[in-house]
Amino acid sequence: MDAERPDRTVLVVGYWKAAIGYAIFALIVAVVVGVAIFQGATLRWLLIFLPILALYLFVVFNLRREWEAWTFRLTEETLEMNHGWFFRRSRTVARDRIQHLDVTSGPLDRRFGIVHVVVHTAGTTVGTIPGLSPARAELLREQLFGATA
Amino acid sequence: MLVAFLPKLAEAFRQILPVLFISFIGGHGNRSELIVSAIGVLGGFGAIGAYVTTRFEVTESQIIYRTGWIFRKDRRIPLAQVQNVNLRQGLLERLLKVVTIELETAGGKGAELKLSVLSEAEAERLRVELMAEATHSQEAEIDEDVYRISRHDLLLGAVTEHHTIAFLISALPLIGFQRIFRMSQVWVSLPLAGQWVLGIFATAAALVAGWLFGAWQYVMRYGGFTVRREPGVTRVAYGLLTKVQVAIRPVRIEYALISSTPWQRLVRRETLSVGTAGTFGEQGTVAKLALMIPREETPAAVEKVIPGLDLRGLDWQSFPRFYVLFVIVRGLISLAIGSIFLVPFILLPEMPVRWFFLLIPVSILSAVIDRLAGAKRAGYAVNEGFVAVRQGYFRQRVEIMPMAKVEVVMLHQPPWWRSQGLVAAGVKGMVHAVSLPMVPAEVFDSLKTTVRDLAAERKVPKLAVEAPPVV
Repeated sequence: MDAERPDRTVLVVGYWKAAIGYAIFALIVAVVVGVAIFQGATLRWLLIFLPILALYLFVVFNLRREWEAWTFRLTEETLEMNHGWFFRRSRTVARDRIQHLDVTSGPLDRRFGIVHVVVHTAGTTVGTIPGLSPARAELLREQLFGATA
Repeated sequence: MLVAFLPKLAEAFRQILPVLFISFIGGHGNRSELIVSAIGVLGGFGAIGAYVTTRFEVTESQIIYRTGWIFRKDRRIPLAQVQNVNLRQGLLERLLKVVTIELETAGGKGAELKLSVLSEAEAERLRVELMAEATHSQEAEIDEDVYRISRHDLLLGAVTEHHTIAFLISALPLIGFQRIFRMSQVWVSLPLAGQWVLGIFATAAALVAGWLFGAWQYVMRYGGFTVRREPGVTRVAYGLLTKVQVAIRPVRIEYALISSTPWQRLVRRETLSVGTAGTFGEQGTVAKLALMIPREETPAAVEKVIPGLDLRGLDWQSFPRFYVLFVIVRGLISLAIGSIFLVPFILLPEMPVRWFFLLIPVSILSAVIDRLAGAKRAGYAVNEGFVAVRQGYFRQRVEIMPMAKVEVVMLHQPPWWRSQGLVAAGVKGMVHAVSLPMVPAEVFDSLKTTVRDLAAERKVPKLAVEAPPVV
């Protein structure tokens, strides 16, 4: 069976999450810098926003590369997850060792209609497939444990 | 009935002991001792209450456990899920002829169920009932002592154990920090030759005392070490003061560890420990199965515990030659981090205490040296049945995991290993994991194939639903 990718929407959610986080951070810095400039510091302090912007751009770039590298593959015997574009990682678990799946989603995930699937064995958490459509997550459950509805 | 409460009271007392200790040191002239004693009495009542309200019952398939009066708890554990059953008998418990039973299921976060203050007969009956499930599945009627530590081996073990650091840590509060400070002031005031003589004498004294202390602890702890094989269960019992009994189901063993210290190798002995998906009370996640086993008997012992393993027939490969470089770089990084502790050493030139700060970088250095020296003889063996890794130079360890117990196969690859085709691979059972720090990528592929083949052999039910078209 061919490898599948997480839903593309997870990228958009990732961009938004990073944007919100960095916006809050930038706001705090802006207040501090604003007060400093008001107190008579040079305008050169505004340059501090450049590295913050660069960091955000890097995060966006990294998110995209991570998404491109993320694949999972469900075969008759195993579930295999590969990810990481810089540090490459892979996990393989025998299908009958999978004890249960958790489907989680935050408010932003729900807004964009994606869920994350956490794969558990009896002993450990194998990993999280970030960003699937709820339908695919449900199907994954059915594929592994049979139709429950 | 009083018999039932005494160990509970003792336990409650033990729990408040540290608080009591601190309050006696720090609290002169206030009422803290009184308050602490009140807490202790309350704790005692609590313990009695917990005992009175606890009920348990073993049925055909599960153990039912109910406790609590205001807040109630009802816990049922299917007998088939029981990994280990540990019995424990402290000094007071032995005097009163009662036992504590700990039940472990998979997950390895400590005992799932603790039944204390059972009579010895009741505990024995319960143990048999709990292990009944395991007994069904076994055919042969075995009931024999496999291993009993001889007095000779026990003494060998005792003298090859050395616990100087543990001794120092437990001795320091006894001597008192003020007295140590005063002694160190005297030491500083001595002429240089005197300092050397006294220093060497003190170090030697600490080493000898630590050695004796370790030996005494070892004998008290592991005296009477016996391994007994019964249908479906291997029972390990030991202890002269506190008696501990661990019951292991061999079918559940997912990990074996053969370790030896330099001192043990002097007398050609090794230690064999095993791990299941549960824990073993105070022993943690691995239980010792043979304490001081002669080296040449180890393979036979391991093969008896892990069916299908041919330890001597394993095809050992050494790690790729980049492994040494990797160990050096990793060691340098951890040394760089550890050298933070040199800062207080330099900042406190007058204080003799500063020497303690040197302990941390030195211990890191010794770990690095151990790994480096061991890099040459380190190796791994992977086949369809088992994963084995051999590491260390001073403290040698061989770890073995049967592929049948593997749940997850993992890979980690930094970008700079890619051109060499090297990866860090690992296998994970329920609790234990064995990692291959650097192997060719093919090894990882073969691990994956094995997991797939084993799953196919177990006849995994077919995928219930067809996969969707690939996006």
